[in-house]
Amino acid sequence: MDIFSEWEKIENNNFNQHLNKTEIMKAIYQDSKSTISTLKLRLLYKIRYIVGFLFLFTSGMVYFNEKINVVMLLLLWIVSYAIGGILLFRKYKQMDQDNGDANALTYMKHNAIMIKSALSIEKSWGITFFPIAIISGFSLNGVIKGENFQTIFSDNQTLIAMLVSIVVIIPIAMYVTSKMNNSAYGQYIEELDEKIKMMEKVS
Amino acid sequence: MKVQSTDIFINLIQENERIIHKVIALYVDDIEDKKDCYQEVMVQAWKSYSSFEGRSSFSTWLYKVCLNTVLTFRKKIFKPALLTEDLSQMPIPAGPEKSELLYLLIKQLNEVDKMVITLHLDGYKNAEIGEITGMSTNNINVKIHRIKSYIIESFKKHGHGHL
Repeated sequence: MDIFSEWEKIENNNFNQHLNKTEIMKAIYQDSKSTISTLKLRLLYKIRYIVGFLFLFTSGMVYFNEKINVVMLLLLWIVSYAIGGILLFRKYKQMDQDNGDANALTYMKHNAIMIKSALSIEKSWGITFFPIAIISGFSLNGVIKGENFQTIFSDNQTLIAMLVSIVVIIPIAMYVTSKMNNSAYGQYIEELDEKIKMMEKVS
Repeated sequence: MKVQSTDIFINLIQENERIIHKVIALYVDDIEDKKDCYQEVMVQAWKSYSSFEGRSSFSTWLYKVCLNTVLTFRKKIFKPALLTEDLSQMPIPAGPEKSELLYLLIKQLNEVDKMVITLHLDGYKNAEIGEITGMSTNNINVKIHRIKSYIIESFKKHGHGHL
């Protein structure tokens, strides 16, 4: 008896199964779930930062409670951050919810849309909020010292500094934010997109 | 990973699907565990594919991925392998076909011996087995000789004569 020929019989009898594409798709889907979980977790970090800032600004409001102008500026920041936070949180809640109704491909596409949409919301929020933040940031120093808004905004030097800062800081801030998002999310979003393409090919 | 490489991946997996079925069948017994393990192997193969540089053949690479994944999976489900030393005590059904008996004998080997003998029977050279298992060629020679002797003895015991 030849051990190799007996092994060949075993091979033909026991291991001669065919791997169908559905099984490969399942594996891609499982792997995608971990990518989606990572993206969701990173979005949660962002939301936690926002909550941290909200806590900081609220503490500031309590500390400067007798200076109404300071309270108003901080309230403006709180409202802005709260809006940004709520919008991101809504996207966060909609991610990685496998209720079994949708198929794997739809589920993956939905999550890719959600994370891209969250980052796009953040970008729009940044474009809107950065100028407000710069203007209120310049004003904050003055109002803490007891100056009123009229005095602050009638000073030409302050106005020029505000304008220059808006022109210079906003593009830099947007660039830095985009780089940071790319480093934290880019690779995972690309992975998810590739898996979606692969899933579309095999389905 | 480029999108066209996904097509290549699927083709390569389908061409070498026997390796996956074989490794899982030899190392995992429970049907549900087999399904989970299969899933795990596919995920690991897909994840590791981007690091496949083509230095060895795809089948050698896939064998390595399968074995690593299956052995890790076994540790997770806490089902330790049987030791070769206890094999003489293992119940082997009387009068099975030669190939069936060979399959049972191989299945009952410990993880390392099972790995070495299946790779040997699949036609891998000792150097390739060394690459997959991380063992020295000498050690592999000794192991193959010892396992074959054990198989011959078991065949004699069950009245199938010599190999």
